[in-house]
Amino acid sequence: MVATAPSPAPVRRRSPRPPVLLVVAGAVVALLTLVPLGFVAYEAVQTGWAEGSRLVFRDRTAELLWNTTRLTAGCVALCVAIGTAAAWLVERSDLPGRRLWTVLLVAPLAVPSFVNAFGWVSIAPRLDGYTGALLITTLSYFPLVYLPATAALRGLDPGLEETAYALGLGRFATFGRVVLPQLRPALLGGGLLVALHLLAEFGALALLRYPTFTTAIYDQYQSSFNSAAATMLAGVLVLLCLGLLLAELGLRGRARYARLGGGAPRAVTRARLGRATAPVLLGLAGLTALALGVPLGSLVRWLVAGSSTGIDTATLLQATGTSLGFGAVAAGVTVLLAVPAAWLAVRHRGRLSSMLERSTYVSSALPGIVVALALVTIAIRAAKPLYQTVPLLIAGYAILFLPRAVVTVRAALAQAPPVLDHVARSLGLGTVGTLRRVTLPLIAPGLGAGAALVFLAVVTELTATLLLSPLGTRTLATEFWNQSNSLAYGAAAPYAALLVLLSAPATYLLTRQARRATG
Amino acid sequence: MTALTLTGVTKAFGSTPVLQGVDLHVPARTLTAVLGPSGCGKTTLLRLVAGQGRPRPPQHRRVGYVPQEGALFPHLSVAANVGFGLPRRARTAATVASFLELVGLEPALGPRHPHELSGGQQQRVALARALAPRPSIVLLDEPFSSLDAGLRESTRRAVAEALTAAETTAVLVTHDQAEALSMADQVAVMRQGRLVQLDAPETVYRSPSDAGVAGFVGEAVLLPAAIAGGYARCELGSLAVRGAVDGPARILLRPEQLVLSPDGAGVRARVRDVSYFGHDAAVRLELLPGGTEVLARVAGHDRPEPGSEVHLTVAGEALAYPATGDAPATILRPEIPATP
Repeated sequence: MVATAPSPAPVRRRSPRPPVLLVVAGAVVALLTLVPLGFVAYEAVQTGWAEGSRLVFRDRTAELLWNTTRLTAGCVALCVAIGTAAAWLVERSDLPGRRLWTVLLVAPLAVPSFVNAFGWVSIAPRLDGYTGALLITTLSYFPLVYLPATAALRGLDPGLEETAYALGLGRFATFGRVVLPQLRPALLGGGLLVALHLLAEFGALALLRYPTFTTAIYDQYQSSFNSAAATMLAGVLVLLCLGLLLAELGLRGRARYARLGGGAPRAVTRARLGRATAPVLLGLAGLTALALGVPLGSLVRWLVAGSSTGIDTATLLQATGTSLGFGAVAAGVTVLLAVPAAWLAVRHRGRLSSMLERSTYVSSALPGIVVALALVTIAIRAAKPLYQTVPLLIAGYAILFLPRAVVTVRAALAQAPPVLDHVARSLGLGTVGTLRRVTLPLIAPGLGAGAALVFLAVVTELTATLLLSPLGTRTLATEFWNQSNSLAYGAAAPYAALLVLLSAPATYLLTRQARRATG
Repeated sequence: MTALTLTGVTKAFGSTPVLQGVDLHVPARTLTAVLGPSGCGKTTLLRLVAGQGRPRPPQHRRVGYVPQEGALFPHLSVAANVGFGLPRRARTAATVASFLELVGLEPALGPRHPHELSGGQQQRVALARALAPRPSIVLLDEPFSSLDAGLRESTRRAVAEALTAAETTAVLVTHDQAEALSMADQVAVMRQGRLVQLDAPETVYRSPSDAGVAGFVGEAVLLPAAIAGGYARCELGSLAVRGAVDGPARILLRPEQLVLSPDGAGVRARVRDVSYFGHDAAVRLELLPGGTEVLARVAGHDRPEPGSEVHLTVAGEALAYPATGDAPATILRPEIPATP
């Protein structure tokens, strides 16, 4: 009898069956997010093995693969080294000016990598190829390791380090044998994020004339509209991304161990830098100078130079307006799509919701160029009226940034547990009344934050915008791109400056989110 | 005010039965505690009564609901929470204040937000919110399990008083037998989806329907005995019994029925150990010469020394159950399961 008695937990947690409308909405969202992946897979099958292998197994592909791999490996290694060292200095040493450094070390995220590349190339034109690409991508992306590393260090009980000291270990031995193993999930996670960003990176690498899969796909597409060749390259790129995704999935289970407890109640005994203080400060100042000083300084220089020849204010205003408009519409649409996905994930755990979760997760790893290529090709072949239209562009943005919106909406929905609905209903409210008086007020801040994130990401997005925006449409990113590609640095500078200004609040929001998630 | 009657309620999740033929009658203006270990189906029963299993039109739903942890709306003030279920015109400061007073809270708490209240205050606000639309019945789902011990007792009392003052029919789900016995007018004991006993608290404690219920609502000593003519012969001597059929049986005694004296009449026993609680003490004893272990509760100031020899007599009647097989003497203790 005892053996067959129902165990209480599963009975309580069993989710009610979701309403049909929600299921339909969820299925639509899942299909939308799977369009790019489905397209690449379909094309690969259509092209067939013979033609496909002829297109893939070429010297060109090998060269691209080598370029992509060595850039990814080098950049990830450098980012992990810089991110870990910086995190340790800020969280565990008596480094002077720690509050300032926490800001300065995250700030490079506010400079879009293609603006960073522009800043460097426009004053050092000979900086290109592997060295340039490695330098600039590292300077742009090391905060992606620094952020999770600081969060993990903050969550790490200083008692562990004190125990190691008490057992006779020195500073370096303690770091190597106690701290580093605890940081490993955070560092690996950050490194994978850097790698995914690099696989998707287009603007900076194109400016630096360093060919990788993204730039090759773009060239192939621009030069010949040769979709078979471009799609095959995209296929290889997608495989690389999925490989990284699998690695991340494998890491996820272990990542939890690094987050023991909510925070250390004990004060940290900070390591004394002593005589090393001056060189360390010099090193961090140098890093900041390279990551922030050079691009921003060069921007200012070109702004001054450009203003002497006159800024085309009308075009600037028009491009700004278009960018903001696209951002607002895309933010609204994306959050609207995120709501059913998040709702299913939080309130109705089941097969559909986990499928939906996985599909948005997969699409979050796909480079903008692949998404754009898929939408363009599908539109040309099957939905000609959609080609070169704003709705297609918005769809591209929605696919690209849905994961960000889902994360925030999910977090907000978790703040509105179903028991509140039960209470509202027991007090006489119907479905609409409960939504209006309980659920919406509770999740409104989350919806707002999600919309803001998507808005800011859309405004500074380059790759998909270049491929998908209707002919003659000018956005900040496309105008910047056209000017800087024709070496009109002075004319490009105001656009770059606006892009940096618009990235700053997104950086702040993302930083806060990362702190909350890991802290 | 309304009574609540459930007849033959059965519910299964998939092929797993959760409720099997539950009959429950809750008289109007009384508090019934549904008591059972976690997983016995009591919360499912409550949800069915609340209409959460299948939704009903709101105008038919005159059921107030107080969930675990209160579940106040975090975006609303205390006053807005209390007035939530009232029509807009009725949400006056005076009404809100009267319901806050009903649950023993200062009306000055009205403008505060839920996170500024203690756990006990949150529970009381949740009750005020449930009572405000004057429901015909109020359901309370383990409302005190998240409170710490000191707060729990005072909150229980305030809630019981408010329910009485509001003349509401109430159903309280709990796994805490002290809570069920001290608050309820009747206790419904549930086990594995079935209602095994529905009686007044004293009856449930003094005459549990079987040994399982006995152990669930309090400590008990079970001894093998032979019944003849209203008396049980067992290791503690010849005792008066209730509910007896002649023949082999097990008898049930509550520890406070065992009376210790330094000498005089009764069975000899040696004190094995004493758990001292201040107001009283639990004494484990070993009957001499057999060595059978029994448990007694004595007043705190009367506790014996461990190792000393005492004499045991029994106050009141024992309760007899027909013996099934060869059951040895046992001490039963309610295990308070972790909050589910």
